[in-house]
Amino acid sequence: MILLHEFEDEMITCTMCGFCRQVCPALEERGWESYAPRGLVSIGYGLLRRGLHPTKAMIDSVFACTTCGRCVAKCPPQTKIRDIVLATRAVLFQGKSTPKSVTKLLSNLARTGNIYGRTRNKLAQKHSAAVYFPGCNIRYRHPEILKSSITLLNRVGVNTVVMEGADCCGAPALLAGNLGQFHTIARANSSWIDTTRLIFSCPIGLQTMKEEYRETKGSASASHLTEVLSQAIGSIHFRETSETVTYHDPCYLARMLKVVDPPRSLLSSVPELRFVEMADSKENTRCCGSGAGITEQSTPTLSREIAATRIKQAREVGAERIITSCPYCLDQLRKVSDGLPVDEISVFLASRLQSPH
Amino acid sequence: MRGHEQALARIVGKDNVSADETELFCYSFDASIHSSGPNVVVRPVSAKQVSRVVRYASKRRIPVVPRGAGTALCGHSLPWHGGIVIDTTRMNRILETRVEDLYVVVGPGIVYSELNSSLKPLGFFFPPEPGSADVCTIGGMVAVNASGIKAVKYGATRDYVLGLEVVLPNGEIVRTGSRTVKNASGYQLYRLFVGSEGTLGVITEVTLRVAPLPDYTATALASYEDLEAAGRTVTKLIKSRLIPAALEIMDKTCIQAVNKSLRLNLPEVDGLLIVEFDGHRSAVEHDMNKAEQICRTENPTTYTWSDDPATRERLWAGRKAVLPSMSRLKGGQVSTSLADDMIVPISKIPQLVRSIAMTARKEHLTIGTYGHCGDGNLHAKVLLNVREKGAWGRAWRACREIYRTSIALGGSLSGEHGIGITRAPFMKMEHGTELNLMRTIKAAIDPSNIMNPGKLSLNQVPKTFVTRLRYPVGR
Repeated sequence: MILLHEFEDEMITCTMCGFCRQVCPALEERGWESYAPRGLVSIGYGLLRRGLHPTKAMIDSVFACTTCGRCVAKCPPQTKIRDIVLATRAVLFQGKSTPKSVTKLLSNLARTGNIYGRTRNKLAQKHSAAVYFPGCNIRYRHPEILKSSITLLNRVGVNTVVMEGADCCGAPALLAGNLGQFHTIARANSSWIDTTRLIFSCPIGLQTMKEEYRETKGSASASHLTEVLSQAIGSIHFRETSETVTYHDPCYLARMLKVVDPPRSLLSSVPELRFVEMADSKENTRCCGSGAGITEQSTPTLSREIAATRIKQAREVGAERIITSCPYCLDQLRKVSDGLPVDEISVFLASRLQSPH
Repeated sequence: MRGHEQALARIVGKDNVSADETELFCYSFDASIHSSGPNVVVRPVSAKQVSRVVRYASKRRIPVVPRGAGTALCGHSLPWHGGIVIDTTRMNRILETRVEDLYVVVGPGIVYSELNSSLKPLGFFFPPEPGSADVCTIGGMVAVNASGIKAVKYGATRDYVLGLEVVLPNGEIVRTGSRTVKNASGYQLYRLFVGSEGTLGVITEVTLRVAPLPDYTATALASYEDLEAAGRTVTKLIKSRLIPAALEIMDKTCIQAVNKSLRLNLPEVDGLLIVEFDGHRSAVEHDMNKAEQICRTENPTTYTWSDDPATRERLWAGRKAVLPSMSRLKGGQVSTSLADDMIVPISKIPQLVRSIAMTARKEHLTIGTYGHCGDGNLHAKVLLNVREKGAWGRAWRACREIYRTSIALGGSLSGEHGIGITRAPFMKMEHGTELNLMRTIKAAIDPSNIMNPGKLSLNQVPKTFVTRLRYPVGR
């Protein structure tokens, strides 16, 4: 449950020390106290206890939060700032104060089962083998990631079928504050996920199913593609690639799910590839600004400014290419990369596969 | 306020002024126990803009409150009587770096650790590192004469301020001090603004002395079953003519708090000392050996030391996180900054520690004690069930007792955090007739009392710190 009143003690326990100010990408760009993580805690408290009403500044800052979680990691008492933000968004949703660009995603989702409003026949499946769950973004905007992922999984001998019965993990509804819609999706998905081995390329879907579904919390057998591939690293061989490459850790994969080594192991197995690490990497990664698609919709300019800082960090270490493992990070970084190539990891690796002997 | 907002927008630009209810609410907090909001917030980028804002306010007798990162612990940056908050965080540039002349000139909004990151490649630093080093601004540090773990050797912010540019309450821009490491040219007015907490003007530029970075640093950890044994060790170390770069003490409550929050695995004893030396390696090793001999005379349960940067960084991260970590120690109890910054002559530390423990027992309170024992500065964090009205009464009595003791021992209310609102009720207790002199100076510079009114006990004396609390007391 993420109802605001359940976090009242969390909000009171926050000493307002301001240590969170150091790491917030939205605050860095905007500067106003309402964008600071502790400002978001104040807003939650204000709505709950001090008669604060939604205003333009509130809606902007609450939806500008990218939910990257870096503030929570920095906070000495680990105040559940991200959860407070999600609960605050739920209050704003109930009060019909969600930005229109965000509610559009939700109405698409309600109508078609995916945030882009695309229609297709959804097939019921028997899930005996491993199931690859693409999620809305990869299925409709990045089919090349789906294709490359399946190619790589086949190469390492993991018998995989693509999920055809459902498109959405529910994260857009959760992150936009429509808890009813989220729980409906979560319940529907929970009926099959606990008996299925799931593989994701999208960290948002993976984190949502592993950590946000109360029905199956902790029981879902779900992994990121890079985890599966890195376990079979000896069985795939890549062509020589003489290039200086850096890796952008998606917040949901690195900070929340602690998956940081598998993508690096995979990239290191590409002959001749020079790997350089950016500042703010691994669990301490810096957000791309997408906010799992929500910040990108609600505050697009801010979202791009945050991404531009990440691109600058990649250039500072001399990277000729950025690799990431999240479709949202991919789109976001590409928007502002100014000629610096950005690739998703499965697409990068699949295009460099050596023919099987 | 709509009219003010529009008028101020003409000065700072419409994107840099806000009277949005949510924004004002967010600016009604700092790291203190209080809450009090402004009517409008501006984010200027130059002294000229600040001057025009202050002139506008001065003509209309609107209160003006400068604010940096808002990490003040006693309500300094809260507008007690509403008005305009000037957020200085956009004035965050390094304007001049001259390590060959031992100075750097910065805007007030630059963050402490960012300044030091830029000085590091040149082999220099600005030493008075507060616990909030990663977020606090230089302007805020000057305003409260902040310091921290290194004060025993390196002193406080005031020891590094060579000059200031200040916007006075009438909007006039004055420059005081110089770009030289000393001067004997009249009143040292720049020093008057250090610790003035925004009551005399808005600091818009700071010239700071910088110090050479030490080549080598080593840190020792000595744990004692008895807090007073740790206190006696401090006196012996100082008396032995050693000058540590840091000398810190933590009691069991604080150790448990950081262990719980950060999983530091520090020994959970009654008293823990952190002793650090920096300088040339041979000198540090010599001092470390001498310190070890002294520490061992009080029979520590453990004694270790390290020069590994990662180990040291982890330890100091733990030490800096004591304040917020305390809030996780006991369910439902919040770490509050009430009597958190007393300073006494160094040798009186054991007496003060004993007195705090007795007071805590008498008032049935949990108080975590830690601090910079090497310079006599102790922090006592009171853990409170902030919803319970009676707890605040007990906390008030306990803090009044702790302050009385500190002053009787020859000390002061504050070593480095300042007075703000929370400690204003005790100013008379420490300063007596000196407070009248402070009031005369305030009236001379700010006759309309528009600059951060309500602070430092300059105009009104609050009867208690239990006022405008940000917590839902009684609910």
